[in-house]
Amino acid sequence: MIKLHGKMPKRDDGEPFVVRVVRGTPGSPLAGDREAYILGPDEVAPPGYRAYLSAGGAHLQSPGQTRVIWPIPEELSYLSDGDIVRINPKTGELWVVYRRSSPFNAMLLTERCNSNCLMCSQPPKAGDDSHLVKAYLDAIPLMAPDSAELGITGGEPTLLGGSLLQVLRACKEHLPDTALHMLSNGRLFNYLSLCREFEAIDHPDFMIGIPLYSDIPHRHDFVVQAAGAFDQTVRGIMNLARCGQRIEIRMVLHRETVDRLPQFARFVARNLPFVEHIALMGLEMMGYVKMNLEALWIDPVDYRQQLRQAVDVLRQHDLNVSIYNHQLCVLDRVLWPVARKSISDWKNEYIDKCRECAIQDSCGGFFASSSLRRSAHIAAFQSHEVCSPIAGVKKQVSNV
Amino acid sequence: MLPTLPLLNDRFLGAAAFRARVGTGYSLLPLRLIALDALRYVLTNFAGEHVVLPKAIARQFIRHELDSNSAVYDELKSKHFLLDDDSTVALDLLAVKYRTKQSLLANFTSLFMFVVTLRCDHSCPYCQVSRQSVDRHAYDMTIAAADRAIDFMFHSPSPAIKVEFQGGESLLNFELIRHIVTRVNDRNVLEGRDIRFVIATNLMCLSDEILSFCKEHDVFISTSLDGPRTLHNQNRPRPGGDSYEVAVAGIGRSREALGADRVAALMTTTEASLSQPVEIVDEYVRQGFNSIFLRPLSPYGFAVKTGLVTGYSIEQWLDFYRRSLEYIVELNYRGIPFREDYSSLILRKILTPYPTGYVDLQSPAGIGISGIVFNYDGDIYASDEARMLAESGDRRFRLGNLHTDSFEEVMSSDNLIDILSETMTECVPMCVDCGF
Amino acid sequence: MDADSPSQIVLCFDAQVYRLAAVKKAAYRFGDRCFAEILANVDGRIEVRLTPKSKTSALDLLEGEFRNEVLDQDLRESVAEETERVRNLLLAQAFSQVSLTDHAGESGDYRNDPLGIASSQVR
Ligand code: SF4
Repeated sequence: MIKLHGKMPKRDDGEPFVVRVVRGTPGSPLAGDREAYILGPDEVAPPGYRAYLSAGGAHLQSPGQTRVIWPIPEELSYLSDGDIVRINPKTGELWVVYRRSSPFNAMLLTERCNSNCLMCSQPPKAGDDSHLVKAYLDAIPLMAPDSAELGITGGEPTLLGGSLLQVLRACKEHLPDTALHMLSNGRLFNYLSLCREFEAIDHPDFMIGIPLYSDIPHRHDFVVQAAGAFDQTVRGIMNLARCGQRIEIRMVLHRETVDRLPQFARFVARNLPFVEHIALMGLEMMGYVKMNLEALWIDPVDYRQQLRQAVDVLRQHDLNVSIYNHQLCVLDRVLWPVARKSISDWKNEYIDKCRECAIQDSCGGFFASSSLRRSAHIAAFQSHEVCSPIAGVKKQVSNV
Repeated sequence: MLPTLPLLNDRFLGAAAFRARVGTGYSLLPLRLIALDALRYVLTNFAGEHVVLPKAIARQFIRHELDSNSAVYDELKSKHFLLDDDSTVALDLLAVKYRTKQSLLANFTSLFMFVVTLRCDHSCPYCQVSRQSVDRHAYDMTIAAADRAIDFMFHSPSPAIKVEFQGGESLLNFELIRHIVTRVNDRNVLEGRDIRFVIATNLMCLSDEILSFCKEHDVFISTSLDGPRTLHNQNRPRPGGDSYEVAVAGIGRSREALGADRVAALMTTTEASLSQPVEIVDEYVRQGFNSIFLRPLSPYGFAVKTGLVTGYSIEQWLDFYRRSLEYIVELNYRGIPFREDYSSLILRKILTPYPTGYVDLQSPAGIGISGIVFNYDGDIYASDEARMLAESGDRRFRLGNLHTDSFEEVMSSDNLIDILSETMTECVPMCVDCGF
Repeated sequence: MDADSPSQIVLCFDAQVYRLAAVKKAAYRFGDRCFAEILANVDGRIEVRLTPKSKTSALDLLEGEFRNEVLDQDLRESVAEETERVRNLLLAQAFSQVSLTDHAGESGDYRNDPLGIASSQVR
């Protein structure tokens, strides 16, 4: 898994700042006060940049070098042109806010949340984290306008209220061609007034992914550990639809959600048929899942039937459904066309058995975290068992 | 002993804590029930969702004796047949679903049929309206009437309007069709409605001129195809006995000129059709259609009553329908995608939250408010059947005349309101209780 | 007509259990098959006299079917009574532009969070 944080020597000389990395050709920097230059070996720092970074330590000793030069921690040596970092001189922290080469950058705007889902991969933390929004507001104007997709996540971003709206406006202004995808539990959209704010911003390519875990209210409330959440979320979804917002429904499959999967699908098809996409996702062994592993783990093979039925229902209703984070060998074959292989930095790992597998190219493999628990039914396919290529499995960049 | 379940970490509340709101009783949401057979009821709710239950369970449910731990309880709750302290959002969802089902009603009249002429070269025995007259003027719609009809039409608030040209044989008066299409399009520059034109024709007088006009103005063609050659020719006699050849050639030409999706065919089931379900479906497949609309002869029996055609019983019709449908299902299993449109409509009504807009299956009936017919003589009728009935002497469903009555007068006429209220299943004794 | 005549049957329903409306509706439903005479409140009972229109109908079959029909109709009546209020609410809601069931969500300001949705659940 790629590291986004590193430590440098502390310097007590100022407030944290956000800069875009320039590596390679020094020019006359256009936005030099918002850029950091990465020095090549023995290179003398060109003038005009907000900060200077060095991949090795050599420059520090070179004579004639007068500017402050930050040594890039080893694990962040991948930093390249167009990446955006936040440097906190007081603590020496270097945080990679945005990576130019990543197909999907997520902006974690807050760690606070009003739910507490049993399987949260990013468990909520209370406390002031307004520096996050501030960093992203500084970073957005520096991001590459040709970025395909950008995510907003948390915590629960809607808790930020006005500052979330500020982030959305900044994205619309600086990255009008970048698709924006936000993860939210949808509860605060119970207030029509909040939906109206989103409507007013009118971002050209914005979608909200909202989790819903059951057709039965108390079952959903249990999973998200908040009484009344089901009603709030469903009302939220309806309010957003009234305001013309595009919505995706996200379901995480585990022991407490799979039982009523077909009924859940029917409920969505019947009550929320206007949603644009339904994502059915495998369990990621992160965050709370580690605490609740025994209670939540279920071998995907044991819910094959429910999954198949649910997808059938959704497809019969012409709804757009995808399955994420499932190995092809645990899925019913007729579901392969809706299985998505996500491309991101910490997925697509494979185990020994996969080496022999004829369809590894199409299979999403495992989370790095999956070493905690895997299906007992992973089994490689021989090439004669599958007609290649598997056209159905689409590769997809996503916020999963 | 219950098996010990794996425990959640103790910073989380167990499922029971959230379940506590359930089990304190429930209330019923609006529903209807009807016996499906001796043992089961089908229950349908406010939004048209359904559940089939053993009678004893249904009675328990209605008497508030259902165990809140049962699977049936969850099913009824999920489908919005009951409400408990767990949630109130069911009410919002039900209201939205109901509104969705009714959404087409709000748009008011959207189908306008222009009977541009009564003249026809065919002499189909079940047709009650065509005239073989050579006297153009007696049975053609006048330009003045057409213009008034266009005015009338634009009074409808509907954002989407379908204009259908009927006959007789509509293309015998193509000049008027040209006039209407051009005038409607001119006017629509300002109106901005979504307008679609359809010519219903037997394709006899199809010409390149007509086709290029259709292409230019995006006009659809709808024709009749009753089945294989012998059947079609028998059903639709014309001098020369080649109505089938004419139809098939016309379908081919129209498709080539306009594209396959611009050409549709409708069938009429006569007594002779009843023994040929497979042949009829095969004919549609052979002609490259991917669906068929199986329709019985109008049960109002204009043709049947007058003895021009031999009628058939509902049972005979159902048997034909069943056999055709079976064959269509078999085709699909064989990998030939083919649809029966009437079944599709019904399934859409049962299985989805959406309305169908099919005038024969709605409450109140679609007459007048969904579709309206302008007859060649300027008379306004609530439906195609209404004008046929009038031709046989019963003018009950005549709503007015273009030359004397305005849109508002017609649409608020006692005549129409009476008809509508009599077709609202919500108000008809027995119908209001029917589960279907 | 004579009550003892074999061409007529007399059925009694407990007025405590069955609604008169249900019996009436059942009689209406059977209108194509028999004439019905209903006598309400005979010692707390509702009495129905059914005379088949055709001589061939089996009387015992008719009785069973009629009793079932009354049962069905009575269930419907009880549903209708219980759900009338919510039905009217739903109709009003369906044709209203705003939510009638959730006032705070409809018109409350998210910044003030009148429903207390934003509070943390972390224990
Ligand atoms: S064996 Fe590995 S690569 Fe093959 S389908 Fe299973 S998980 Fe995927």
